[in-house]
Amino acid sequence: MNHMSRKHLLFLFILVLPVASLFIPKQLDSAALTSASITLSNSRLSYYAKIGVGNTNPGDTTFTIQGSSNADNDTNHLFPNDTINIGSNANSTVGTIIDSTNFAIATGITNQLVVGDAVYATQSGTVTIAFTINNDIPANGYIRVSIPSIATNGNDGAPDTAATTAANGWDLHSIVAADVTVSGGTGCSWNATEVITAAGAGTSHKIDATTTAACTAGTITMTIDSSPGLINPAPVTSGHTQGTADAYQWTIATYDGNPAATGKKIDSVDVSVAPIEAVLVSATIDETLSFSITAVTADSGTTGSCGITRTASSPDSTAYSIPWGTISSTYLAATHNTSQLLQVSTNADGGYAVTAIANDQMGKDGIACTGDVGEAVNCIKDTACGAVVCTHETLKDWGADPASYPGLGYSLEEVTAAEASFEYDDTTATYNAKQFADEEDSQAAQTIMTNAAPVDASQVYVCYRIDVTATQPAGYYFNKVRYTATAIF
Amino acid sequence: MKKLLPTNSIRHSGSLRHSGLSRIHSIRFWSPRRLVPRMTFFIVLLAIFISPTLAIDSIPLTISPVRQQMEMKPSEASTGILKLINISETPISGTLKAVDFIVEDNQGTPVFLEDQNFASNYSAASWITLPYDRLTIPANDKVEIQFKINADQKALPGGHYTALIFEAISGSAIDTSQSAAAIAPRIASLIYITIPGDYQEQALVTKFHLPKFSQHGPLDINTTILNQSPTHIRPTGVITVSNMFGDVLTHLPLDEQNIFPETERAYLNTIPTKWLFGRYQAHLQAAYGSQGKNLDAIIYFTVIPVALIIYILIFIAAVIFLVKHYAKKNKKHEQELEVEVAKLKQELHK
Repeated sequence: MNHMSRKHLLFLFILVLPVASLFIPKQLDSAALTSASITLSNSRLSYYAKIGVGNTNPGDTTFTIQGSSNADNDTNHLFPNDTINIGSNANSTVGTIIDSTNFAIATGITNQLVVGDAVYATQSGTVTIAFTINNDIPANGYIRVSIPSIATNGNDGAPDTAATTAANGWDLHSIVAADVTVSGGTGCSWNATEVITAAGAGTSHKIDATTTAACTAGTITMTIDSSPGLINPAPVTSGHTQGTADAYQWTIATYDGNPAATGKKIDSVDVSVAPIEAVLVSATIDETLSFSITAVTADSGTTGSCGITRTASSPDSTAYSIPWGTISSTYLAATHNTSQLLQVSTNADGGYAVTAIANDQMGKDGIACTGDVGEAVNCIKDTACGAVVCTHETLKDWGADPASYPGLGYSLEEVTAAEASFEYDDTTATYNAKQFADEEDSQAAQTIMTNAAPVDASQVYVCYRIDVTATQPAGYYFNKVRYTATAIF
Repeated sequence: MKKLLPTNSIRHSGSLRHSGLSRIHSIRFWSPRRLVPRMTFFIVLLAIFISPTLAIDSIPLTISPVRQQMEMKPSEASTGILKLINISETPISGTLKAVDFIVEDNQGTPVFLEDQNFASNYSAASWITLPYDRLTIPANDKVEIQFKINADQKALPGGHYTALIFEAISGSAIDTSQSAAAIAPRIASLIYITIPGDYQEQALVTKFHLPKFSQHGPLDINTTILNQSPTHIRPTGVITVSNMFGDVLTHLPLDEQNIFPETERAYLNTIPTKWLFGRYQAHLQAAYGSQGKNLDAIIYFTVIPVALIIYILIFIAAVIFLVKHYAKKNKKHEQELEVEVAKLKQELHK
């Protein structure tokens, strides 16, 4: 009987204990918060290198960094305009990345350096932490955000680095309660005075926020602003590959009371935060000048011909020539005029100028036409334009009686306003014209198009007119007109 | 064209048979059925390629960099890059040469010193060595030319200036039966070389002008700066316009422009305000060069809208006159009414 009783008792114990545990469950330590996220407005790793052998004196502007054993061992992740600290010289601006180990700053340093001095550029930004609570946070409950930190100097305003991510983290950068705001959650009433605790050895930075009213649901958001902002870690010194993020674990937890005292954890979640090197996107735009000469071949209209109506018998220019053909001594507007279109584009800040000069007057078979000569020496002279003569510098109206003032001359018609040095119809003239500057006669090339600023497709027509007398000796006449496009000095 | 139509005669013609074209026999070029269209096509091709004036519609040239600046010591060697770009469907051939240039006007327009023996302190064309002086830029392509610069051993400290000029040349034959003007488009890249050394940078404001008296704005301020340095300078500065109480009306930045040695450069700034009143000061302050030199100039000017004031005075006078006139008229009218009332009262009492 005794034996049976012990068996019964053992059986009863084995049966009852698990059933009883269903009615008296052990209290859980915590559950997971849901929809947790941590967003860095600037996820770029900080830059941290050390001064190598090279320039170290006050006034120096170019520096060499060490090539091994540091968070950054090259200048790949240092960009122009980064604010950089070099030893005790704070807030220099990176000017140029010379090569993979050398960089230049805009203004020389003031304090002496020694090899091994830190060179760092901090990266900070706004951090937004959001999560949805799983269980209620009672009145006077807490949320705590734990931020990975280095064991020492985790709040000195310099980026931190260590061999592994487990030993590395964000620099607290002396942020205060005013830099942190907490909002959201159904029923929550958040105190504005968050408690911020810098990490000690082996611990994390902690930000504790408390609510005076119970939170029963919803998403809670904590924001750490960017001024001064947490400082992102520099790459870890062991095993880091540029372009691969270093992953860190932040912890978000809710408590029923002060976690620094007797508060018990309700829910928690670990969130991975992975800063990575940024990518410098850069492009160089050269200063360019584009110049084109285009033929005019239209058989009708007056556009681009300085008021002359073109017909099927008008000479068609090419880009390389003005083929007058066989010139009649009877002047006809349609056959004795033609034109070309000049176009310029440049991004040069001083603008551009196009000058024109002829190698000589038109000479029979290309003979030299010394000075201003005419048909007496087998040359087609430059036109005089009128009773008061035009020159290569001075324009006159050649419109009233072209046949009385034979020769070669030119005029201009703007497509783009204010680009030509003059226009055919300025001051109500019919055909303002000039002679081409004559290189043989030591005349200086004349500016026909100009603008003191960058331009996009500025266009001007150059109109050519020729007339000869009945006594002009027969033969083949030619000269060469050079148009030179250049930037303004 | 008529001669080509009797296909049999061409087929048996020995003139083509012994030319390079006879090889086409192997592909039955002379098949009577195919001869006419093929010969027509062939003749059209010939017409295009043998045409005396190849009608190129456009020559688009692009050069880069437009300006390049470098510092070199005497005897030092360096290199530079010039890019020529052809965005047309036709190759562009031409010549390339280095030419000295100066600036003579106050607008900064380069003057190329071609075919001249230019014994100037600013010359640098002879320092340039080009890999070739003729080149062809393929259609829709670019050519990069690496050129050498060897600074003269006796180069004087200061600025030295040269340009690389590409001149496009027509590839077509000249038709000597018709008169013509040949057109040569050219495009230039400017090179500024500074030889360091012991020289003084010096510049003057030779003109700082706007009318001493105006009735209203906008007002143009004309400034001219003379560079007396042996190298080019690029002044940066601002014109501050303030009223008689010292209040700043506007700041007008000076355009940043290079000034060639021993040359003036003109600047134009405009005070945009239309309505001004009183005496004003325009103060130019600019810095230039590498030796911390400054430019300073002040002018005073007065703006009084005289015409407007006269118009206002006339208007006020007219208003006063009208008011007085109507007041007088009313008074007279009242007196007449009073007299009339008095008369009526007398009549009523009777």
